[in-house]
Amino acid sequence: MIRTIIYSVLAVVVVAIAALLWYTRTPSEDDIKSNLPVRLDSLSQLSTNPKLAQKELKTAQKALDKLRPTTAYVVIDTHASKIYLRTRDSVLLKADCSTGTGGELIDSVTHRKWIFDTPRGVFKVNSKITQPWWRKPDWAFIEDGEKIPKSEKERLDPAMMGDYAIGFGNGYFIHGTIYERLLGVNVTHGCVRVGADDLDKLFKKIQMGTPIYIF
Amino acid sequence: MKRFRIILLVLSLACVGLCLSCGKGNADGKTSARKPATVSLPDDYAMTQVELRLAQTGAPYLDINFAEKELWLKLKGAVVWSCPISLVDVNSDALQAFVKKFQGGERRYVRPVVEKHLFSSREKTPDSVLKIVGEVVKVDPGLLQREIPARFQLVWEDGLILEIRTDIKGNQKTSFRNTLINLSQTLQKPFGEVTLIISMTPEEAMTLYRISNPGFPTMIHPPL
Repeated sequence: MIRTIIYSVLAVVVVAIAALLWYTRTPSEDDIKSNLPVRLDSLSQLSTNPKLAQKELKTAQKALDKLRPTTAYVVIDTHASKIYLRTRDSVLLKADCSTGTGGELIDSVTHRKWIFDTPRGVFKVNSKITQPWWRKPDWAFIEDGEKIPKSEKERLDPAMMGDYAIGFGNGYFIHGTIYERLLGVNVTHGCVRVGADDLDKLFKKIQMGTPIYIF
Repeated sequence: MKRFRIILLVLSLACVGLCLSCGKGNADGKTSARKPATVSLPDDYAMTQVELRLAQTGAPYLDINFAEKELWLKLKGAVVWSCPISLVDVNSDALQAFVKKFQGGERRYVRPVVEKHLFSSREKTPDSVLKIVGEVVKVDPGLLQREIPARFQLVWEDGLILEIRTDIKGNQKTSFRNTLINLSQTLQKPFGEVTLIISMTPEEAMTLYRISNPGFPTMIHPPL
């Protein structure tokens, strides 16, 4: 009788552990392979000839170096809402910023749709503007429930973008803001807002063509 | 006297040449600049090739660089985020075990993250504040919230775990699955599961936590 009880308890424990391990099992790489950007197990083998091997290594290193920036570059961390000017080894400037909300807006009349995200990837500074004026796009009026004006004059706002704007393509800018208290929160329509003092330092330190990395 | 001057001149030129060559070796951003002489040629080649492939994708990747004692997030080969590898238990042999397991028999240098577990966290901005902000900017406050992790894990295949801890007091995620994961990891420890525990600032942890989803490529530079 006691033996039966012990065996039953042991069986329950074994089944429970097996169920626990099954339920918490780690997925295999095969399960998530579709998310991988490249096949990573297809590396070519190095030549057995030492001279040739050295040459192959140098070629690979040169190709990698070619991708890397050669000057200081801007980094925008949309996850922590931070902007940096940095080199590989040191951070030259670090500041709070605000990036896109990720929200969307649909115009109920025309059914046009906007997604307010900051683009990710590698860009370059393609314009540097002092005292920029904001030309309000259609979505700014639709969002406020206002009629879209016919006159260009009614679209212009001289205060919204602060003292400087740094363009990086497709209508996206790093610029100042009148809402400095919201820095650190992702509240923008896709542009990157920076506080006045930090923007001043950043603007003076970058040149046309400076790389901008956004992740 | 003339011969002495010539010798002095030759020595000076040699010194200048030596200094210039040292300066070149420390140039910023060059792959060869930080390559230690102890890394074997095939290993160096494999790591360079792996990184080149990852850099060419244009997507971010994590470089666990034990040689430099730093974690790097990189995009197209450029460091976009860095954080020192600060081991919680410096005396443990988990670091060696982690590297050995990561590389496996085939001396692998890259693996994708297969899972991540968040055990405790704190909200970056109070919900009450975000509610007001959300009304002003006309956005769902839920989209504006960021969680700062207090403790989370990145998991790779073959029982390889990197646990990240910060010094904030987070709210425990008391989900049933997290409790079972803790129990399961305790049970599997004697059977080869390796957990390397490191600490970082809450801000650093937030970036790493948010970016490293399943499938996120991770490469490793073993310690020297």
